[in-house]
Amino acid sequence: MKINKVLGTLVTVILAAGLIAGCGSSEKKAAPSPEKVIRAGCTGVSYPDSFKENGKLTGYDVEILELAAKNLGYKVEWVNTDFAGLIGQLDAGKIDTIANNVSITPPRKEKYYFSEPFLYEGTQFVAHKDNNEINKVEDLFGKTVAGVAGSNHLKVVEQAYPNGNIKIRTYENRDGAMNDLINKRVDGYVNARNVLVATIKKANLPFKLVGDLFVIRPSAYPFLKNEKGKKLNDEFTKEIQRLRKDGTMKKISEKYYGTDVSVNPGK
Amino acid sequence: MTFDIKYMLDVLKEIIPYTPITLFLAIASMLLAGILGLGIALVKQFQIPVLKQMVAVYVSFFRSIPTIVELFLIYYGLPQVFPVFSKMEALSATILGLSLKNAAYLSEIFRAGLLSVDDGQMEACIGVGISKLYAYQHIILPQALQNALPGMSNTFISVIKESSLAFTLGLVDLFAQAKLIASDSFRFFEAYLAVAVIFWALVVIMTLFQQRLETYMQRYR
Repeated sequence: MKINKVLGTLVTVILAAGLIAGCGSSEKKAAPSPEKVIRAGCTGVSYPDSFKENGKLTGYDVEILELAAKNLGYKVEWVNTDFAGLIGQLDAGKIDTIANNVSITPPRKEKYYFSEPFLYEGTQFVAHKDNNEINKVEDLFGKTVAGVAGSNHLKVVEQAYPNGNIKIRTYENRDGAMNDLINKRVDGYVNARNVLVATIKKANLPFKLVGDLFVIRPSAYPFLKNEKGKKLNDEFTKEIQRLRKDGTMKKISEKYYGTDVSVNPGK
Repeated sequence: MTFDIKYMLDVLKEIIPYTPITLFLAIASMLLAGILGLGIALVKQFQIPVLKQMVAVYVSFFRSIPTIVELFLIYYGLPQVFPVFSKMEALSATILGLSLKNAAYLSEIFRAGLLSVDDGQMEACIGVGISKLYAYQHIILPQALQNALPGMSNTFISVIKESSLAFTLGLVDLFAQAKLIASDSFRFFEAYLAVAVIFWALVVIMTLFQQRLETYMQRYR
């Protein structure tokens, strides 16, 4: 008897849930959508490119895409997931592009169209403020430096300092890498200079810059290599060029990064 | 979407050398968790006062929190309260975290095993003059473990997969290496499939081992 009662309740709950879910989706479908839509993805945890402030998604990459989309007559639908998830969504055609500081690299170029770059970044080392032994890049030779997966710092560092024997410990995300430098378990941390400077300022981290920036790479919005991707890439590339020319991009860059990252510092 | 089978095989070749790290994490954590979990199950079985309440809180806490949160608290949180912990390696932190958590799960599996042995067996032992300790060692526990084995295998499989959370602490295992390779090319699909193949192979081998162990344990039946 008791089991029957429990089962009955369970079935009712499941049916009710199904009903509610059903209503939700049918309402969504019924809503008219006269606007063109671009579906974009970002992690929402990559300060200052894509992050949430007061519950609202914002950031340099996010704002530029939204502005360009608005000017082109698109409405942006956002998806938040981790980096590997973003690539999966893009490849499956569930989203049209990624607004999360995606650097252009040769193997990636084989797979995607890349829009006009809106961000140039150079790699930079930082060390703990208390560490008096490390003041220039050479001091890091033979030492261990934290890096984050996704930006492939191991290759970048090897390329710039082939004889330095700098050991890179790679972390899944920035939290891990930064926390290990705060706890002094590593001697340095390597990431994009602009991201580092902005994060140190925002979170008041006890880090100091070590040496100059090296290996400059452009970041852009990737699009799938199909007809739709080509069309979107052409449209957004033109719009990004326009935003650069009229100075809008510089203004947005200064708002998030405190400096103009939209131009190549190497030129 | 163009699936590149050659790329997948390349990734497979590059991540196979990382299998020992994954296995070491899993086996070390499982051993520690087994010892601790058995202790907890016995405390519950004998209803030892004070300890009983302590393990109840322990099991409740470690079964509730997400593993990644636990690892983060141990590795990055502890040093901020006790600076001595900043000397702890990511490897030991991961083993500690996985052991603490899975001991909580295993304790319940062991308890189920202990409960599955009929009370009459202990009564019979006492009836023929066998001491309680001897009865536990040679009669109750072996049967309890035999009944707990399928559940333990399930936990071990979970531990094998959970070990890849160590990447959050900067420890590169085979899953992490696949992510690193894929982040350069963005071919995550191929890389993840390679990861799936290895994990599947590991679990198939482990299941074969489990079957032999079960046959061995049932030799007196």
